[in-house]
Amino acid sequence: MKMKKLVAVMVMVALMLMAVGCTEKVAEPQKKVVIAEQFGLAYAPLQIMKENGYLDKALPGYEIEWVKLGNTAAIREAILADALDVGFLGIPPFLIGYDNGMEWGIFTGLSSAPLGLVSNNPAIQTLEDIGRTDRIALPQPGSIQHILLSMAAEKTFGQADYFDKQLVTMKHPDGMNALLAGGDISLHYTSPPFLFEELKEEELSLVVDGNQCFGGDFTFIVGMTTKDFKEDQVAYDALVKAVEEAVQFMNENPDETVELLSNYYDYDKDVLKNYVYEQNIRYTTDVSGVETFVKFMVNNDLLKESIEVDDVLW
Amino acid sequence: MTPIISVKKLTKKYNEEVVLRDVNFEVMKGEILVVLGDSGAGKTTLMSILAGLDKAFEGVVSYSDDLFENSKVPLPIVFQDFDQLLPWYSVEKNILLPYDRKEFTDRDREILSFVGLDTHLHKQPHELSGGMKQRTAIARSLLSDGKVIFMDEPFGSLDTARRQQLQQLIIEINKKYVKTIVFITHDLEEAQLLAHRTLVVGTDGTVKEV
Amino acid sequence: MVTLKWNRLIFIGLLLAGWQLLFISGRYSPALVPSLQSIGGTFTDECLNGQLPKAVVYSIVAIFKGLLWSVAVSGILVLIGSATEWLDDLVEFVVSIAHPLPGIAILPLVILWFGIGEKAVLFVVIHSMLWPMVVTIKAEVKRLKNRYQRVSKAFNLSRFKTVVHIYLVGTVPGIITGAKIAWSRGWRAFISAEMVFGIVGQKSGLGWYLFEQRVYMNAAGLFSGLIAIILCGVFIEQVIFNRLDAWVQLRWR
Repeated sequence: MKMKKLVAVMVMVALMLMAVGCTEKVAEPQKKVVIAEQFGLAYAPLQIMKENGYLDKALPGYEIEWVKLGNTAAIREAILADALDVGFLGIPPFLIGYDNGMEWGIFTGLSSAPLGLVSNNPAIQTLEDIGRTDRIALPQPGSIQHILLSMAAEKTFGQADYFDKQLVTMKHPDGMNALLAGGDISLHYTSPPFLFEELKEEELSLVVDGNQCFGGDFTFIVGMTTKDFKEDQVAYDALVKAVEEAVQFMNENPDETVELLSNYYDYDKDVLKNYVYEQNIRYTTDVSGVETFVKFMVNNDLLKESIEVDDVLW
Repeated sequence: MTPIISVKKLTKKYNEEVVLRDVNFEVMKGEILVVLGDSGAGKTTLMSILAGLDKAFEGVVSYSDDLFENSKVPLPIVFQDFDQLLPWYSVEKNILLPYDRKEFTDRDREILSFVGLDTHLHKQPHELSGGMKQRTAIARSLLSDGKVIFMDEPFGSLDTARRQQLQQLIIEINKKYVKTIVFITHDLEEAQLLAHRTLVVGTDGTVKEV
Repeated sequence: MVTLKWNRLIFIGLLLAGWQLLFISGRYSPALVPSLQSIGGTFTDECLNGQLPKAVVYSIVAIFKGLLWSVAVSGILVLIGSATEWLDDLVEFVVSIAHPLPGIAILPLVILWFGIGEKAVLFVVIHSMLWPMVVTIKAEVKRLKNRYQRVSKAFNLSRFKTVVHIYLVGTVPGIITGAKIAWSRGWRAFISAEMVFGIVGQKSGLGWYLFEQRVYMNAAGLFSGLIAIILCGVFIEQVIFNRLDAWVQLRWR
């Protein structure tokens, strides 16, 4: 009788494993490109790409699917689950993924933008003014904002994790609200457009900006694809070209760009124009800053192994 | 024999239904008065009124003066089911609960011994047999040192042997401690065994002595 | 001890074997399905370096605090409800609205009132524990009233005696049962709150531990955290509460 039970259990487990293993992608008759869509002025070329249909025109036989994902971790998980081909994120989260065996690479830059640490406490002018009970809101540990802050901390205090116990994970809009509300959050490390909105407020001030933390310029958002996607030469080349076209369009046609973007961002057109073109965001497909990030993260045990730039830059 | 409780023209209604109709009788000091009747006839209602638990009735229930030397209303009752004891307390605690004393007096211990509980004082109800539980309830009533005790079908849940033992105990308590006992039952044999006098409560609400 | 039934052990063994096979097959990236060795190794490391134990202790203490508060507040609510029927109805009404609300759903509101941090999370935990506890205790008090009110009246027990000896002492099994339910609710609420909102304090619990493992892509660490959660949950619910419950049931019934 015990034997029967054992066999039954084994059959059950075997069936379960088979069910799990059999989630192969059903061979689709039509080829597909799944791109993660994200919100933020740094991602504006994506919106232009979508609106002007560059990718659709270049890949007539393909289905282009745009998906909305919550945060960087979600992008990584979607890729692991074979549910995503293309995504856009900051260099540090990309490096962490690569470090953990994810097979992906950077195919383009998207934008270089100002980032900064904003405070609602006039007494806080520099990093040294930040006390132990002042809480800092940022998107999540391991994000580019966290890394930049850590870089600055290392420069100022010799300790990269100086602020790690004061961090509060908040999405940009929540962080901005909390900062404006003036409650527990004293500081917010953020990016456009929230950075611009916050700095408009009289009682909020900039403590340190991204370039100061980094010690120079760097690419904010890069685009990445999976290794598998790269194998499809046609699709890959089309993607690279589409992004280039989008960036070019933005740089050459400001008024139309603002028109298109106003579908996505709820600002007055003048404000939008100012944010996109007059606040130092540069839309370019260049990528810079990878080595510095790698070096910093390896030194501070955020990456297990050093990474060669050529391995990740396609 | 002197009356210790007098009932005159007692009528009790639940909503419009008459449960007891124009009842007149006396409870004599020192007797075991058995109240017989079929289920639902109104025996328990009558007892509640006599014991002072139920005050909503028409008519007069009077008590002899010396009844309240040691008692107050309500007068002690021994019920049939075992929910009359608190399951989380020991026999000792259950018995002492209604009273102000924290420990048994010598007189208390004598009673406990008489009732047969002296080796069971620290047990909890779930460790006792049905007979022992009822003895506990009886002891609790006795400790009030009142002159009247009410019992509402106390042995209905017990087996024959225990019932007989406890019936004997009642007879002895009545003799030794000179307690007036008003005893409700629907069992004719029990009535015959115990009663000095018997009242029958009819389903029409009348009470007759037989 | 948790009953060591053979079929349970065999099932766990097969599950582990199946997992390892899945890992070896390479069907999924090691970032999703790490090997048993890496999970085991990480788990041991994290226990030894104190990270997991700290998170476990912090979590348990936090929920225990919530439990004490819940018992106290339920007691007050039940007391209020026992005063008049109108008040009882009011309490029932409040319970019926509050009970279905998951703790996480009100967290944004709570943050507005309490700010970020321990207080907010504690409030959410208490909220998730309080209402089932009130329901359980109220039911128990009602049961006690039905059964023992007659004795109380027949022997003219003073209000004090009735409240203490019948209701207070008598409700203990109800409190234990309520605490058991409340504990599992609070446990889940606490971990979820920390995971979803990623609140960081000086110290933090298992929810935040899982969140950190996720953002740093530490799959083995994630699974270690899950294992810790399971072990804790089983230990507290089965060993502590069940035993307590059995002990109380014996003496109170």
